[in-house]
Amino acid sequence: MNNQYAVIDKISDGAATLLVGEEEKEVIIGLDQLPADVKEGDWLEMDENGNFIPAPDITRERRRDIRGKLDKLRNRKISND
Amino acid sequence: MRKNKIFAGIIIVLALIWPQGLFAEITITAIDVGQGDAVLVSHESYAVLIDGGRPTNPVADYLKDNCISRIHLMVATHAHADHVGGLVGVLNRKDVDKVLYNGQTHTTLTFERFIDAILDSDAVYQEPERGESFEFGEMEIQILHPEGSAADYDGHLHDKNIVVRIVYGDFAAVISGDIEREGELEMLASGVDVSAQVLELGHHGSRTSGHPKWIRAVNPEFVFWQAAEDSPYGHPHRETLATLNRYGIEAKGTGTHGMIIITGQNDGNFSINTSRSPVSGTRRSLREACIDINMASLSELTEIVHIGEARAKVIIEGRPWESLNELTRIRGIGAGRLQDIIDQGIVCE
Repeated sequence: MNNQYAVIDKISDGAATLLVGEEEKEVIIGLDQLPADVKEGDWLEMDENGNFIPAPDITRERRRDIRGKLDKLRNRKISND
Repeated sequence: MRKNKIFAGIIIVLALIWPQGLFAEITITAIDVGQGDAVLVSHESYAVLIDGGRPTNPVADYLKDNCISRIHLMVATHAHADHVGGLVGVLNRKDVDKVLYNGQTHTTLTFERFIDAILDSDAVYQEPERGESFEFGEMEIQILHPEGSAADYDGHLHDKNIVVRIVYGDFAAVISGDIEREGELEMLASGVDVSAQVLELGHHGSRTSGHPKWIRAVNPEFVFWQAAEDSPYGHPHRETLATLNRYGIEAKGTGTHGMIIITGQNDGNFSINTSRSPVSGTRRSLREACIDINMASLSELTEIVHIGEARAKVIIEGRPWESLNELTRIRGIGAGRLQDIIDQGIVCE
C-alpha cells in the first residue's frame, strides 16, 4: 500500500530520468531496468523488490488533469488578447 | 562650464556603478545552472528568460541579485524538469508579462507546478508558431520551431521544443533548448532564416543534436552549450565537439567555463566573457558539494572509497537507492566499509 511512485520525466541518451516521490527526486537509470515500451510521462509503481511496474491509471488521470489545466490557460489567452 | 563638468561627472559615475550590460546593445547570458538550461537576454530595460534550469536552481535569486524585477517574455522550450523547474520560482516572485510554451502535456509534478504558477500569475499565455516574432525595442525574438501548437502531440518532448532566433541589427543568436537532429532538419526544410553569429547547441551538446547540415546553415562564429561539469549523461558528446572542431568554430560550455556572457552590437560584432562564480546556491544543489549515488556518473562514483568501476556499475544498476545503508547489499561492502564511505564525507546522505 505504501509503495513509492515514480514518473519518467525524460528518456534520452539511452537512459531514463525518473522523478521519484512527492519531492520528485531525480534518479537516472538504464532503459533496460524499465518495462518495455514505456514513454516519457508514464507513471510507475516501485514494488518492495525495487521493480518498476507501469501504473497506467495514474498516467491517464494525470494526463487528463494537466491537459485540463493547459486548456484553461489556452482559454485565458483568448480573454487576454 | 561648471554645469558641463558636473554632467560629465554624473555620466562617469553612472557608467561605473550601473549593472554590466546596460550600455551594451544586447546581452545574452547562459546562466550556470549545472545540468539544465537557463538563458537571460537583456536589451535596454527588456528582459527575456529562456528556460530556468531545475527546480532546485534559484534562477529567481540570480534575477534578484541583478536587480531584474520584471520579465517581459518567458520562453519554456519544453516540459522537462531541467528546463521548466526553475521557472516556477520566477513566476512566483517576479512580474512576468508573457509566457511562451508549445502546449504539450507532461505528467510530472514539476510540470504541473509550472502550469499552476502561470495560472496563478497575470502572465499572458501563448503557444507560438514558426514565423511569429516578438519585438522589444530594437530586439526581435523570432520563432523557428515548432510549426505550431503541440497541444495534441504525444511524441518525445524534444520534438516540438521551441527554438528562437534573437535578432538585433546585424547580430543574431539561435537558442536551441533540447532540439534534436530531426527538428534541426525540419527547420532547414521550412526555409526560415537560421543564420546567426552565436548558437546554443541543442540538448546540452548531445550527439542527438548538432547535425552537420544544421551547423553549416547557422554558420556560427561561436557556439555554447549548457551542461554540468561532470554531466551524468556525458554532455557534451565528443562527436558534437568534433563537428565544431572540423568547422573551426570556437566553443565554450557552462560546465567548463561557468557563466557565459555574450555582448552583441547591431553591426554584428560581439564579445564573450565567462565567469566562474556560481549562481548563489546552484553549485550546492548540483552534487559539487556531495556525490549523489542516484545521479552520479561512473567516474564520479569511483571517487568514493572502496568503490571501483565494478561496484560503481552495480550502484548504477541498483538505482534507486533509498539510503546509503542499502549499499551493504553490494558484495564486499559491509558495515565497516559503509562507515568508511560515510566518514569520507563526499557522498550525499
